Amino acid sequence: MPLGPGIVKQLADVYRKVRNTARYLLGNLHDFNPSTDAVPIAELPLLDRWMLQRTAALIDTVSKDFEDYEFYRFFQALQNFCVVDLSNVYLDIAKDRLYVSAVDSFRRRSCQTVLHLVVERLAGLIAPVLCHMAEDIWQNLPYSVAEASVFERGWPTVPEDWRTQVNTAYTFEAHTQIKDLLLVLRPMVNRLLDAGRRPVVASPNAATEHEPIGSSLEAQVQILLGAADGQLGTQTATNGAADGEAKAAHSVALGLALLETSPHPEVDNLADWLLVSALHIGGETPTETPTEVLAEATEAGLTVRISRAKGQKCERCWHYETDIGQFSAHPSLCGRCVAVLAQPSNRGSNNPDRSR
Amino acid sequence: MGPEATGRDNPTSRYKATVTASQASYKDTLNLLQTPFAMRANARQREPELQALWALKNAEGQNLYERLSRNNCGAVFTLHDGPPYANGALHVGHALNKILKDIINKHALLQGKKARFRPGWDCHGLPIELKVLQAMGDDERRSLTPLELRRRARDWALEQMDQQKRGFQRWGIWAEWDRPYLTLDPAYEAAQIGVFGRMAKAGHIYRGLKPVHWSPSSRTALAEAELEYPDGHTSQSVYVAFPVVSLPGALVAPLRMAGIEGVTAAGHREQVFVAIWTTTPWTLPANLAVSVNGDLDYAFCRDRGAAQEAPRYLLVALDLVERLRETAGLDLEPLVTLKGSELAGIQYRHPLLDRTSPVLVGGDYITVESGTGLVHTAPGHGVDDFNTGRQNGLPVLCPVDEAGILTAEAGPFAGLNVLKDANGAIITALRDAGVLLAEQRYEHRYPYDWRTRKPTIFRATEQWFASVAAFREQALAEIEQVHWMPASGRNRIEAMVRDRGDWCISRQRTWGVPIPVFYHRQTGEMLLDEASLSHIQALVAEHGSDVWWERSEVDLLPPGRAGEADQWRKGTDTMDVWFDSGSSWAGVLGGLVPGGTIASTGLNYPADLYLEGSDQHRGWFQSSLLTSVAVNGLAPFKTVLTHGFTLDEKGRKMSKSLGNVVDPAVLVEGGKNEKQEPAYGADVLRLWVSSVD
Repeated sequence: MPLGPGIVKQLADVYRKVRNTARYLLGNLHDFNPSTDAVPIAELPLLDRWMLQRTAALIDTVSKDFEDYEFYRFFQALQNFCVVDLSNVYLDIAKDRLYVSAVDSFRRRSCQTVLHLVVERLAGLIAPVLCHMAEDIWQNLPYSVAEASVFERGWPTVPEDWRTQVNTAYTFEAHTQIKDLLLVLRPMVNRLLDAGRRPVVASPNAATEHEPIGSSLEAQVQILLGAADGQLGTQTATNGAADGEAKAAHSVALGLALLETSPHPEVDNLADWLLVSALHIGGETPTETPTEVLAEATEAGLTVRISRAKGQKCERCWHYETDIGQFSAHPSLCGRCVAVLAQPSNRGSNNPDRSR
Repeated sequence: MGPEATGRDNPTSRYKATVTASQASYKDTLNLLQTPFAMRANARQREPELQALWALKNAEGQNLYERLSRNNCGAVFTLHDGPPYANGALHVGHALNKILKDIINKHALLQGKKARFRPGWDCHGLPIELKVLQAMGDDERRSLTPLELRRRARDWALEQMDQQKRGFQRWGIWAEWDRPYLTLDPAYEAAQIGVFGRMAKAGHIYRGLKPVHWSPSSRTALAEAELEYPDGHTSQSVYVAFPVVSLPGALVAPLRMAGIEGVTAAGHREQVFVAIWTTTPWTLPANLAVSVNGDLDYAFCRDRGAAQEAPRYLLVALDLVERLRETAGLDLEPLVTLKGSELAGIQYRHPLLDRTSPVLVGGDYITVESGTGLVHTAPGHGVDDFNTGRQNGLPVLCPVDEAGILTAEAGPFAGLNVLKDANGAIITALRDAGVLLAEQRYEHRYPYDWRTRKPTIFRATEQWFASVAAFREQALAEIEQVHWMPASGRNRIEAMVRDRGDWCISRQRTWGVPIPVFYHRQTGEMLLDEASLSHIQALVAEHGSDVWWERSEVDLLPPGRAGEADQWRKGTDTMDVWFDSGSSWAGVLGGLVPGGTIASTGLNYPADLYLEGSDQHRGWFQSSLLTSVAVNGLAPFKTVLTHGFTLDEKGRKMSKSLGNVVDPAVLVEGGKNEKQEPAYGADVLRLWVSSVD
């Protein structure tokens, strides 16, 4: 049971990560009332169902860890959940939904629904160990709850409709495919974006100099799916399974096909998940010359290229869009942001995001 | 880390950094984060505020913990607290222990269980008694009455308890802080006397002369749990030749075949010797026998180094001849080999005192690991010696007083201190007598008094014992029923209970629960019957154990014996503090009441869980198990969970001299220099507890 100044610093870091994650969840619920604004679980986008399933898995493992008195496993699971599932993935993608979309839009309310469900359970799970932080979270819930203390809420349990279910939109297979998009493809793209931030790029053709990109939104991504290059669809999905080399490509193809079926493309679209301004599947390089590719990588049958996005930067959402300048009232904004601003006090039932 | 801190694609921070006059209006159209939940924990202020919230009482006067632990719908869950000693500042070991318990209890409360937690303190015992004595001048100490000592010890314990309690509360521990259990509470003491009485009635308690670990520095008997074995203890070991004065008839012929004509040579000069080895020369005046292992081979050897005209023969285990040859520089030649069992009946002369003693067959404890294979046996100074002596009808000779000074029974060595000058004087006398074969410094494990850090000795004294033999099998059967986590705990405690001797439960100290016995002034008869025990138990329940010192015999004896009060003398021994804490299943969980007292205590007996450091297999887990099995035939716990010990980052023990001590108070509240030692808060300490395997 070692303890010393170095360990205390590490622990304080973990503590801060959990606290900042909780603060982000709380801070984006200030205008949310679960009884009127929440979206039913069955109607949530796939991305949100993935997050609830991850939360369910956390509750399951932590419950067992406490039953077995294996608290260090709780510590590891909590850290992983806050850092990877929440901060690095879900909340990273959520920023555009929460900040940019209209206040009462489905795109924002669905995300807030998840944040409120997660923060209440996160408070319960950490309550035995981080009892003060858990209570602090509870006291700062920006809406009213029946229980005056987190300890009156009881140990978190998993509502059955959070889990993957057969004969619904969110099956076990769907969860696995989304997981691969978020935890395999997304880190791969992020590595390439990091490479694109460096002025010298080693492309397959030659080492060339570019103006480095800053924000990931300055980039667009092209994905080539191995042998079935450019022919995304069920054919790739079924044939590719036999080829171990093409496993990642296969899984990504399945995931993309799944996203196509989502009734909520304004949330379930891969460009948003990758935090880039545009996404191309297959086809020719979406740049004028191959030298404009900023970074490229091929792994397990999957090729990913990064290049500079077309269009101009929207002053409000920072996405690079080709329709900027078309709106005389807001010459520096994209059509999506113009539509958001058109709503009275950025609030209204006619939400342009839904039809985006 | 929160998304804001990643520095990547962060609209909030970026807008802050790059905003211009024309963009400012668009920034205001974003739905940015708003919450009073601060990024900085500000734990030193915020944690006590949250604790104050938990402390708010409802209309029934219950705080949050009390409401949940009593009104929850689920089952009663009892994690029974092992009482820390009420002395000294809290350290990270306390934090590890109490926070682990609190994590388990809070989880149980969240699960809807009725998880009451009564925190305890171990309040009696020598360390507190010494604290009080050390705080006094010599004059004051000399005039100190037992009652005054007890009053001061009690004050000290309560003050220490209070400080520790505040520390535990600051860590966010939930418990019955308004009604903790203290081993000095009258009700607790009465329950403890009840446990002792039930064991006495069942015949498990006896008084006997027995060598016990004795600490001359604190003048008391010590339990195993009060010993430590520091590295580097070195003893002055000696090889000694005891002159044989007669041989059993069966040995005469074989020795003669080997050329040894008899025990004496011309001029009655002794020529046959048994060679022994001891690491405690001061025990030689108490020697009453030499023991051999009946199954080992022993050789009579000719010492060719001795002058040719004066042959000398030494008896030594065959396998150790070579070692003795090297150690003592003797040119030994084995002449005849015999089984140990054939040697019984040899008589030898004590080389320093006027006494003749036998060679005996001892037990398997006699090996050829070291020494000569012939064991110097002093029944008053060793457990094996005592047992061998008892089997062979030897008396228990103990010529050492309670301060470690040799008595008149040690003859010319009377007045010498066994841990100081006795060894030197005895070794000199052995050399002068011509029987010292070799002297050798010997490094080995040797028991020290854990408080005074001074060496202990084995010394036979009149003590009270709990005989484990009668309920050992039941205890082992109960160990099988308990869930031990980790599973290795089962083997540890099983081996300890299987091999342990009787439990010495008496102490010659003042700060403790009295052994409630009267001795007849003339006959020495002991009064320990039903009427007497229940009378004293009732007095203690009402007045506390001070009553034993406050009142004379006439007011302590049961009413039926008041008329014979002048014939009885109350005992002065107190109980081992392990008996105090080992009775907590009775004093706290109500285990003396048939069917349990869950209605009044709100606690389960047996408890659902005991959770302590793994050293408690030989401490509290065992003492609790033994008393509970002796009285009820039941283990007092269903599950026993152990945790490890706190070390520094390099795996070393924390110590002032290494400068690697982490003070939990500084970790939580910050140190003198806030920059170097910020106030991390209780939650970071709690997070540490959850992070360790």
